[in-house]
Amino acid sequence: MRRTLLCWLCLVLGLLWVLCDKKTEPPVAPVPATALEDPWPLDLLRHLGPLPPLPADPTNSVADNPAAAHYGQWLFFDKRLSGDGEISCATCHDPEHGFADTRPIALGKALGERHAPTVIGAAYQRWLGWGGRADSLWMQALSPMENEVEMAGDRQDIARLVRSDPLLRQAHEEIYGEIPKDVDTLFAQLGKAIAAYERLLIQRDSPFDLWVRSILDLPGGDPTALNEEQQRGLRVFLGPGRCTLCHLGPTLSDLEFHNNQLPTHPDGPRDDAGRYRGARLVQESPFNAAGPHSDAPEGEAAERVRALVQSSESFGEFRTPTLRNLARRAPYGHQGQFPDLGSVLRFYNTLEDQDLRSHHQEQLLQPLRLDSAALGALEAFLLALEGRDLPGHLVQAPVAPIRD
Amino acid sequence: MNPRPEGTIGTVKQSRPQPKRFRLWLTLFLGIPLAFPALGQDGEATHLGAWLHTISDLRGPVALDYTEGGALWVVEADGNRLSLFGPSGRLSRQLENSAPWLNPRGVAVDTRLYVSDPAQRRVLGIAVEAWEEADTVLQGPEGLCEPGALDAKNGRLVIADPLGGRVVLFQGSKRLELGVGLLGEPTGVCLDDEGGTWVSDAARARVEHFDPDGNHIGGFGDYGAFRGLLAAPSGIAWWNHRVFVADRDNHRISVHTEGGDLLYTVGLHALRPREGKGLLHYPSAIAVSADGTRLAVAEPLDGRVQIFSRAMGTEPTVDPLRRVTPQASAHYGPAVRASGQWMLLVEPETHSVLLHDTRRDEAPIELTSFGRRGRALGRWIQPEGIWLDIEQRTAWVSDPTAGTLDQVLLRIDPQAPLNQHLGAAAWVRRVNLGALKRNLGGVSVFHDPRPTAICRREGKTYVIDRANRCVLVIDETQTCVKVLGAGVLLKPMDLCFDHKGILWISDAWQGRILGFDPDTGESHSSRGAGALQSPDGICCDQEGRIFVSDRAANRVFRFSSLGAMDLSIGREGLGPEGLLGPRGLSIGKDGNISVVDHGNHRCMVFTTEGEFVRAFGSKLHVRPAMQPKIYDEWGNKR
Amino acid sequence: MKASTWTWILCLALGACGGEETQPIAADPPTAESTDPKPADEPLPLKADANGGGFHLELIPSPHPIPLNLDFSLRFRLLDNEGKPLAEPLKHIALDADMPEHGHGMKIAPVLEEKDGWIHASPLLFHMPGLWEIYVDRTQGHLTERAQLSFKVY
Repeated sequence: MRRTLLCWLCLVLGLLWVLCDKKTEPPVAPVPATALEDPWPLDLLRHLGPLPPLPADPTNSVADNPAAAHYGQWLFFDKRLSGDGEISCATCHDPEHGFADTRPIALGKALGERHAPTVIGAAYQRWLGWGGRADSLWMQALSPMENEVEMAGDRQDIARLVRSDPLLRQAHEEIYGEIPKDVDTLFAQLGKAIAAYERLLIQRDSPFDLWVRSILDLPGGDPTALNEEQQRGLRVFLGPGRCTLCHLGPTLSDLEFHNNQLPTHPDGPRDDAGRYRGARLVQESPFNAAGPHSDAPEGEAAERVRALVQSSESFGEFRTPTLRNLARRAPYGHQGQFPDLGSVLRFYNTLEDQDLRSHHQEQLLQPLRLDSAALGALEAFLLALEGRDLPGHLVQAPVAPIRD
Repeated sequence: MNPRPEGTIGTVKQSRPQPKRFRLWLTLFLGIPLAFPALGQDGEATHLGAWLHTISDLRGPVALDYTEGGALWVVEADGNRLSLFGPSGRLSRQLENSAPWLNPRGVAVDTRLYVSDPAQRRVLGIAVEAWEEADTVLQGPEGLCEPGALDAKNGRLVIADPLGGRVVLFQGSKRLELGVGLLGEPTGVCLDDEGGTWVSDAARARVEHFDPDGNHIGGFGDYGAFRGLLAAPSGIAWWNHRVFVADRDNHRISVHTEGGDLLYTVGLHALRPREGKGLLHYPSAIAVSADGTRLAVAEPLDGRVQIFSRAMGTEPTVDPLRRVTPQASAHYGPAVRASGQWMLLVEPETHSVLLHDTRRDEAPIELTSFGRRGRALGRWIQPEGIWLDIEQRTAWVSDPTAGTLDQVLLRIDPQAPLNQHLGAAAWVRRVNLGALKRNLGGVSVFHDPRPTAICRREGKTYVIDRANRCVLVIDETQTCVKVLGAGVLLKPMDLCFDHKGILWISDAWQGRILGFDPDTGESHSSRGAGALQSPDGICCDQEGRIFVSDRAANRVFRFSSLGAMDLSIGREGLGPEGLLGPRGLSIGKDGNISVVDHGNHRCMVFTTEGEFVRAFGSKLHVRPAMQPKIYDEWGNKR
Repeated sequence: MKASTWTWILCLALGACGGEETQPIAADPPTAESTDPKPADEPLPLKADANGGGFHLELIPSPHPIPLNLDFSLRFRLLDNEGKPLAEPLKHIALDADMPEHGHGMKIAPVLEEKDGWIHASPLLFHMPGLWEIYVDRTQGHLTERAQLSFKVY
């Protein structure tokens, strides 16, 4: 009797074993402890940091003008630039939130289509906007003002405001001279002032920057700035994480566009053309680097925008985001589809939720299959890219559009 | 055929009898809001998307058109006939015996019935009651290369000529050529109520619009898989300022405004073998009924036409359970070539060519892939013909739409251990046959060459020119030195040399294979007349036996060295002996024949005696052949 | 046989049959095949023969070595088999670049301009690290031939 019972027990257990999900744990790629002692790939590290000086923007003659930056800071927080007077740039690019949005999909006048990305460090970008619809900070500042779901304003109304408000008029004339009659020129000047302010929104000296200075024998370094786990995470970043395929460069972004088949947010469009549309918009706009409002219409940026290739291969591609200063600006992704860093890493680790449109799509990404320790270390490293806080006076509206 | 009653609106199930008045009010209360999405705010149909029924067991349905009364004419190209189906899907008439056409390809209904007959390069106009007495509306060769899709309305007739790269418009005595120099491969054509012409261009992934005078006034579209993009659009229809496009390689119907904005899509990609009921598999022709309540979609590979009616509520969304997998499903192109242990295949939907190694006694291992979509060197509009020489480590690839022939060096050592070799291809040169200004080997031809199948021998390249219905012989200096088979061939599909040096060419429209002396160009002999329906791929073994795939018969036939047909391999199905639309053939190093089982998304390998060896390709289609005890002939689990 | 014995056999059989599907034998791990990319210290001009031997290519990138993800330009010229420059109309020359391992090219298309006996191309941008190939195609009549150079960019 006992033997029979034992047999049946074995039978049931055997059945359970066979029928249960037989997915084993994916192969792991841990970073062994000895790897911490391996020499660092210095050439690769030079591509990542430290954060270099701000690149010049010859298309904006007031890019580094302090008065223009102050004026631009005022405009950044001025809700009167919107159609209903309720929305400013800071509404979606919230200083309390890393100059990004807490909402997955931005809500201006109406619900938009994408997450409002951070402005911090945007001055290092080559293309602005998730689809790259602008090729300069000042060009990017303009389109939300008139976009019907963002600020729903009108440049004619904005021009009237600048002309009629004594303080705005004074601030404008101190920088640009007489207010131009041409509305588009005035409009571009406003964008350039806002851009001058945004160029100040740089968070420097992250723990990674300090650490990499010491590794590269540069002054001001601190070899203890990254702890062991963060260093382990950097090893993952440089190695089995394969992050540097796209996250390479001082902002840890290649500044270009890729389609990683990210899942879409329920509130966002499923078929967002991304770069396909953005490339057309930036090439056609009179406010691009090659246009009549650019201060360097024959410069490098102008040459680049003229040379842009329009191809349907870029459909669904979005700009590689910077990985600096992530801590305060969740959610992540062009639709804010990832609520936290952990969810981003889990996505790339398994690629289970990829939104594939066709079984013929080329697949550059492969699942990383890292174990939880490696993922944790990677996240720790990413958080070590957080720079020093911005000075308090830069994260709020100034008292007046003119400096004291 | 499985007709079911047309959908009704606002039906209500009741569990117990209710007072009449209550039933009436309930029906009105529920029915009106339910009807409103279908009717739209201004009373017109909002969208067609509800699958209604399927007309099955058709023999290669390639074109269709509705009559005013809602009956549907279908061209069954493989059956060499036209069939008329009533609104319920029941067959009411068939025009086949004593047909005036050799090979019908397109149909249009106006006051008469128009049928394109590309084999004879003409379009016929017929009165249905006296259909044997057709008159020729337009005749090639200089007028038409290979007329395909048609449309007719209010006395206007438009004809798409895909190999000629243009559309011809007739009105009375006026004849206009549309899109010359613009269109790449006009696959579908239709007329709107204002006399404008709409054309689907498969090569350029676009829809183009011409005014009643034939001037190009705009268009829309770009290549891709995202909604709003197109991939080989192959059929087009216009109704009430909506443009319906058979987005063939995306396996759906796209419905656009005249400005090109996407309104909605119809159908989802059929992934499993023989899936239907609203799931689509290479939809190639469409028609919308005169009252806009029916959309008919022809799927030649599945031998069916699916009928859709007006949908209610939101359009179909993707079933989350139907995730596509990242591995490319095997949609092999028509050709396969083996040389030594290497094997070359085309993957049309990625516009690339795949190199495999067959040294292991199992499915071939992919070594590298090369090419992608485009016009520049290194890219193709659509690669089709291929040739491989492992000794020279070189591949030759033809692009009929571009009119080019490429020579590509494969920088891989065949003796090296198996490995993936990304970026191993280096283009050597491209021959642009179109730049020869229609002077081929001293012969003037009517149309720009469309090179397809390739064969090489003793340093010369023999390539089929589908447009001019001949074989071009190109020497080592890349000069066309000779033309073979002109005036004899109708639809040359593939070619090979036998052990005696005779060049054999399969001709789909003549239903036979023809042998030529490659030096003199004289006809040698022919085989298979009366026995072959649509011969396609061809290859010869060392013993002089010739193997021919018959696409319409779903078989591979063997001819002995003496010319007798002595073996039939395969039958329609998915099992170990199954074939569906077999195309290219090649004999590998192991002496086995590889067959591109095109309709089944796989390659089948047989011995020369017809025994099944293995299948490789799309997993869903391979397993019924490799695991016949688990899956039946049709891919269903037993 | 006793029922209990059959049960044991069944259990063992189940244990033997259960388990993962056997994975197909994979090819060896993929590695990029060497295509002899030009080392950073290769003297200028960089040289290559056309893949079919029809002409020679001399090319000078600026800067050299080609930087990762920064705009650069280059100049090149075509020579015949005796080393003399070929006088080819610009419309017969094309220049492009690809990442053959990724299956994509550049995001921008350089403009070609003839100057001082060289053809200048600008701008170019290699935006991702890895193997890039630059192609120079020359068309004569109905024939197009290609010369190419490989670069490893990091």
